[in-house]
Amino acid sequence: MTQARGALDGYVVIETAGTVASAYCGALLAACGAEVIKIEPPVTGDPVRALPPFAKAGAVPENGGMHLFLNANKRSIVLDLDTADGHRAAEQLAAAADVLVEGGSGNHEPLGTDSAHLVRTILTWFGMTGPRRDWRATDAVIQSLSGFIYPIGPEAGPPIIPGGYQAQVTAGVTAFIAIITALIGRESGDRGCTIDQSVLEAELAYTEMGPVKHAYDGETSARKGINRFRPTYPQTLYPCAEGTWLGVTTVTPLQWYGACDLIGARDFAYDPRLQTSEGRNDLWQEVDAVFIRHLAAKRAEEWFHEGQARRLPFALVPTMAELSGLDHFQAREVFADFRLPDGDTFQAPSIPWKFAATPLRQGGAAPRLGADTQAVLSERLGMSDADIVALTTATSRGAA
Amino acid sequence: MKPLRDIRVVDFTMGWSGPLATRHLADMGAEVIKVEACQYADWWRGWEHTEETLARMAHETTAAFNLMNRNKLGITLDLTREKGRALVLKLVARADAVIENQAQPVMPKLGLGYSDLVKVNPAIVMLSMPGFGSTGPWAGYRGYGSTVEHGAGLPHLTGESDGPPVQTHIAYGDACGGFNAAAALLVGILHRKRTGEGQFINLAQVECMLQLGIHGPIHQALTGEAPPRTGNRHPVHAPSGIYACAGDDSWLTIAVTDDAEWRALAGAIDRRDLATDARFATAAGRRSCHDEIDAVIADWARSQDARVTADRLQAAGVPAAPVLRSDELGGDPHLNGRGFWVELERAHVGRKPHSTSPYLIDGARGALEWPTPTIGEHNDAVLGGILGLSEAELRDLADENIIGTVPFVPKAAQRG
Repeated sequence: MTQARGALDGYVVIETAGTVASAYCGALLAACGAEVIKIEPPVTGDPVRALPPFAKAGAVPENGGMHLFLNANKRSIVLDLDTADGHRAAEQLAAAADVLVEGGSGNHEPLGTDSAHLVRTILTWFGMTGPRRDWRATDAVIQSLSGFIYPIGPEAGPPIIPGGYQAQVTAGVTAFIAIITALIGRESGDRGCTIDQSVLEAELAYTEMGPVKHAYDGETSARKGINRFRPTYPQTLYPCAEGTWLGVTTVTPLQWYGACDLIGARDFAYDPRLQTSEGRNDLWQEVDAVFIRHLAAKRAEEWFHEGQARRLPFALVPTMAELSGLDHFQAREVFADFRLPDGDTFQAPSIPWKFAATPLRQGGAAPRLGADTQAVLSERLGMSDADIVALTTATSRGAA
Repeated sequence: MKPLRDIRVVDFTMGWSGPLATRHLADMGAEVIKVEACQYADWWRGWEHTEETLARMAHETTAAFNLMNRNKLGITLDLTREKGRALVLKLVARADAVIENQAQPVMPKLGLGYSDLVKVNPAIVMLSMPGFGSTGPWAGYRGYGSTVEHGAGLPHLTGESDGPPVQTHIAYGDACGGFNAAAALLVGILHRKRTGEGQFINLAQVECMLQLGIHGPIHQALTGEAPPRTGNRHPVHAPSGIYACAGDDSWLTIAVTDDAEWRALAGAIDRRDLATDARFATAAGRRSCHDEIDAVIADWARSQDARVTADRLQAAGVPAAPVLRSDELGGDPHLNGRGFWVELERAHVGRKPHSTSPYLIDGARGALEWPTPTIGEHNDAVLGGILGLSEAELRDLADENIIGTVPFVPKAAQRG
């Protein structure tokens, strides 16, 4: 029996070194079956190789957790794009590829501009044009400019920065959407194209309603306190027994009555002041006091299942330690094995799309820096071993 | 520029997540047929319809609904009756893809599950996107965007070490589920175009949220510990913080990602002495003195204008930004410089702003060709134009309330 192939089987992608955003975009393409060839600078490699956490001491460039996740199932070649020979080889690789993902790292000349069929993807913080195109950024900078951070945090401030790379992951998916859209167009006869994807505009998926609502009714964004969501209340997190946390959301009147009934506060539900979310928002301290007092009786997991049995949108807020052991995620094979260079494995959530006919590559190994230089240059450019040695020696000298 | 001009999608989604997914496709030229029923209108038009809300056309004037459904065709069909179901199956037979985000049992109960659809179109691509997935012990569990954010443990990654876990202040899971659904559906459509093969695609919105916080489980797996909550500090960037500026509730974000940026920051705040202080020369050094650095920056920032200062810091090569409210973004010079906002005229609301596709292809965004349809606006165009129903047949359907252009008051309230 032949194994089902990924949906992007047969496509060749060239990815240059860049950010979590561009690496995540490449990871999605690789998970769907594309051959993703990552061009990395000598010595340090892709900047994501330097991101924590690290499994072991002396870990850069092979043992970084983000690298092992983001670069799984890709091939790695080392070329110095600042040298003429390195750039020329990269240009030849891009010309023969279907997709180029440029992550904006380094200052090399653009690649693939002459290719008629190539889907060029330039993924940068602010895009290729506009007054801020040369600004520097991080997830926090982008989330500040997108209106995402402003409402998070204590009423008096400061706003709170969400942990990790949430804006960049968002941008990776959005760039992937643009790429697949362009590939569908190519199947309909379109030529190649250049996609200009900014992390900022991807992040606006979350906040684009702000200015639109403002234009309709003058509504403005407000910061009301940690875990105090407007207009819905409760839409918050409550501590339960043994330090566990429960997510409670009550959008409809039935959910409000149901939640109060479940926790043993039925009379409280009918307090005339608390019949609307607005009323509950105004009296949040009273609401919180009653919920916290009652919820303390059990662990969040118990409340979660009891609530869901009554169709209440409750959630266990699992800790990072709990996540991979949850029976639901185990049954759905949410976590996959990613390989460390020494052969050990660790588990992380794999790309979450379940295709019945074209399964994803789940987990896997990331390449050592330059592991595929020889093979790729030989296979794809027909270079001789001597030429490859000359090229790689020259380009690594260029970097030194 | 319409890469998806050949693609027809029958869209059973409502609310934010699914309609965001199909907006991605509609903006790039796909023909998206949004199916509502007068008996069961998209709940983003409003939770309950009464004579009073109908009189003031409240179901056509919601900003969020009108933002999410432009460039789509809107029809109504009562899918609980055989005539309505048969008509939608005829559309499915002529479609490339179907997407739905109803509560778990709804589509199979209507006789519109994947196993029903493949009978009329063996090559159909269908995507479902329940909150917790359609298999596993929690299959069928209910959730909003907040619920799946909570359920992915994301709040544990944000906040102070001695404070509670912190949620965001949007229905985070809805937008995230939406663009993940667009991505997965497009993959299915591309595969169908290349091979002729359709398939069922399933995603659990809670699992999409796990990807947003991917550093958390990776950190746990590799170190045996969760990443510590460190407020506005960062494991790599130092200093990293949000500092109060002059004026009311005005804030400046600074994130220094390397040593050169640190020296630039020291110069920009007129503290060149810090640039040469050996204690601060490396990120590790700056992290161990973060309180001291924060005090210096906070003292300086207090008299600064956040926007002007962010411009100045960026000009010096320091990653910095004012903390903007989302309602301020309509006037944002960068977004406007890139043509991100466009106005579109629509019945009942007039000219209103729209965000456009979040990327440009060859310098252009997806065109905004027509506004969000009023309920049932394209019944004649779709049922007459695509399925070839006569005017008399359309009249009969309207008389039987299979199709219509006004939400029903009593039934809509029951089904919500």
